[in-house]
Amino acid sequence: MAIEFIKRPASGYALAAAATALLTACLVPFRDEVGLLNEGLLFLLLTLLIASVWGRSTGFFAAVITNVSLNFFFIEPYYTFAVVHPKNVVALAIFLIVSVVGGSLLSAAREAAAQARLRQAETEVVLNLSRAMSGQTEPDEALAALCREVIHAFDAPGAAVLSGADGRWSVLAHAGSDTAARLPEPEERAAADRAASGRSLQSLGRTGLSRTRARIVFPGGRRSAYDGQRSVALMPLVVGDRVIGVLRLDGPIGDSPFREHPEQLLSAVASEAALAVQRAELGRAAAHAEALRQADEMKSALMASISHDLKTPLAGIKAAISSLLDERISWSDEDVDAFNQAIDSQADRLNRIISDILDLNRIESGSLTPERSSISVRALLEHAREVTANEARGREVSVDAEESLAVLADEALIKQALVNLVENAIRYSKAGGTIRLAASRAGDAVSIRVEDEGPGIAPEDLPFVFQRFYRADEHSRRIKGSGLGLTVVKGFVELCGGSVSVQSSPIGTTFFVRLPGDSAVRLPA
Amino acid sequence: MSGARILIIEDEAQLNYALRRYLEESGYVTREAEDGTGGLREFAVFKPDVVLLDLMLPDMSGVEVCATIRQSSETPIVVLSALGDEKTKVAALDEGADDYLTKPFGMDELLARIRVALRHGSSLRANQPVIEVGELRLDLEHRLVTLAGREIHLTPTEYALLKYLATNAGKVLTHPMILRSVWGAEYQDTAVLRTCVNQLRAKLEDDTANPRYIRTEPRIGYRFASPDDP
Repeated sequence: MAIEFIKRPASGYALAAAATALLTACLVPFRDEVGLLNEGLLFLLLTLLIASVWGRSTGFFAAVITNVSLNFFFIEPYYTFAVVHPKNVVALAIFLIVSVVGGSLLSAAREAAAQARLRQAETEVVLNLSRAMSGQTEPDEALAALCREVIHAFDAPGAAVLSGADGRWSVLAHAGSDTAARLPEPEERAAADRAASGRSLQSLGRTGLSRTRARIVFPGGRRSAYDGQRSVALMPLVVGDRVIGVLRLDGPIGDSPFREHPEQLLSAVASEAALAVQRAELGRAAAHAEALRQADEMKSALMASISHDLKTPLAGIKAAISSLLDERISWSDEDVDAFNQAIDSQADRLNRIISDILDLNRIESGSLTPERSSISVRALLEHAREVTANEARGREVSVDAEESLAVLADEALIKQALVNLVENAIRYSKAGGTIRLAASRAGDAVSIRVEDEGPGIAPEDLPFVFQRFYRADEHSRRIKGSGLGLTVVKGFVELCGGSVSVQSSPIGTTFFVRLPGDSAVRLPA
Repeated sequence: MSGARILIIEDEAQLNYALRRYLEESGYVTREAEDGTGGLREFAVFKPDVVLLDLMLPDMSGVEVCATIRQSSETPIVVLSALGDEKTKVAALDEGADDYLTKPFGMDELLARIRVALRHGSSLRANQPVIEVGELRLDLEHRLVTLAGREIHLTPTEYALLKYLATNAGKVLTHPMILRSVWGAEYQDTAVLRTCVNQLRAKLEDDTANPRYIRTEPRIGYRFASPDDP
């Protein structure tokens, strides 16, 4: 704090005057013994010292007052500014010139050294910045790291990187105080718009301001603004000719080597930030493109799967009907019966696939609101067995659940989910196989199991069975399902507050449905 | 060709039943198989005149079945497929399938395709030197093409293309198959083929927008009209 005070320019002038007075007071009693030459050298020394500490103008001030003091106190006649001997006039002139030139040289050297130190500090900051940012994989984290480095370098309370695309300002990253994350205030926004608009830069450029300076906005004054609590520096982030955002540094700037001239470092930091913002933009664009591509792929898969799955049962229906309609052939009762059955069951199959598609659509659109009630698990399992009896031909479906076991769930949703699971088990079972439906208490919950004796699911495929259009391997494309059934199961069970999981081995697969249990049993309608 | 033998390889039991009963009532002798292995076994024993082949079978793909049959026989194969697996369809045609039917199909259409396939099979056996479709006459022995009695002058490539198409009348030929046979194995540019087909159509067809002889199979290839075609 004391050093801060002494280093101020005003302190320099006062101290120069005081030191001159003190030296004068010390020398006056001995002025005849010391001699004018030595007195002049001592005053010159004082001037150079002052110039080296406070710089050129204070040095010049010291040169003048030491000259005045020399004239007034040490050149005869004393206590007047009159100079009798011409050689003393010459001596005074030489003294003045030497002190001014010497002071200037010294202060210039001092400034050069200070500049060099500043450059070095700047280079260090930028280097740290690059290091901190390159350590971040996410673009937004890289920008946050940049903000932290900026705060550190300027000893400022907060910094943020703002994006102003299409006039809508958003904070991409920030560091420091909570207020650093604020959206630009109206006054600030106007300044940021000005800073970010190429037009305003050009017009400022014509008024003679340097490009760097023109980019800095000092609300409420010039350099002193940095000391105020509400001072803000705004630096546009420029890539090529495009302004892609603004770096905002909140004041006051603390004890930092860049305090006097923050523009240079801000400009360097802004270039780094601009590149990082551009990288983030490109990353986002790439991610967006990837998402679109995936959505497109998904749509194609949907179309391919749906068209195939809808056309296959239609083929059965069309073949049966066009056979029946052919007047050249008189069909036996047995044939007519078989054709009618084919039409009926293929129409059911079509209906199920369409229901799966619609159910999935309802789940994804979030339009389903489950109405939970207490339902007997045994009744649910028996319902699933009944509905799928036609498909199960040749496969045994067994039900094993205590009468008292009940779950809290939406009846329609959970019925559909279980039917889908049983249908799936039937599809993957060979004729003569058994499908076991069982349930047991698991704490407050009820665990329902659907076990088949099918070929099992490969471990690498297991995590994906609940995804849309997933059918285990290429061969099981033969399995005639919509590829949506299990996705619907997962969606419905989760809507009822439950969860689904699957275990599989080469001798069979078990699906588990865990639902909230209920002690009061009511039979489903 | 009544009494012809037709092998149905299709795993959809109810479709299989309808096909079998309809074809039997239409005078054909049928045999059915529910998977590829069974289908190949039946093919060896039953020696069918036409094979109806579903592309999605439980144990192997229809394309594999097609390729295996073609290793030993030129028996016409009509592929049955649901839309959405165009790639598989093209692969089956490339492996030597003669035609395809997209599900769902009417039985009339199936009968028409079977008739074309049977004719193609018999024309292969006869290896006739003269091919006649409508007013177009192609004398392979004398390298002479006439349309309503008028001689048509063709470039060597046009003639080679017409000869390949006409000797495979009724069969769907994929772009790669035609390029391979007429231009050579290294050719893959369908634009060359398209240009040549357009030139041929300009010389042979009354209405090039609705060609009578060289018909386009969208995204797959071409099919030369069979005498059975309307």
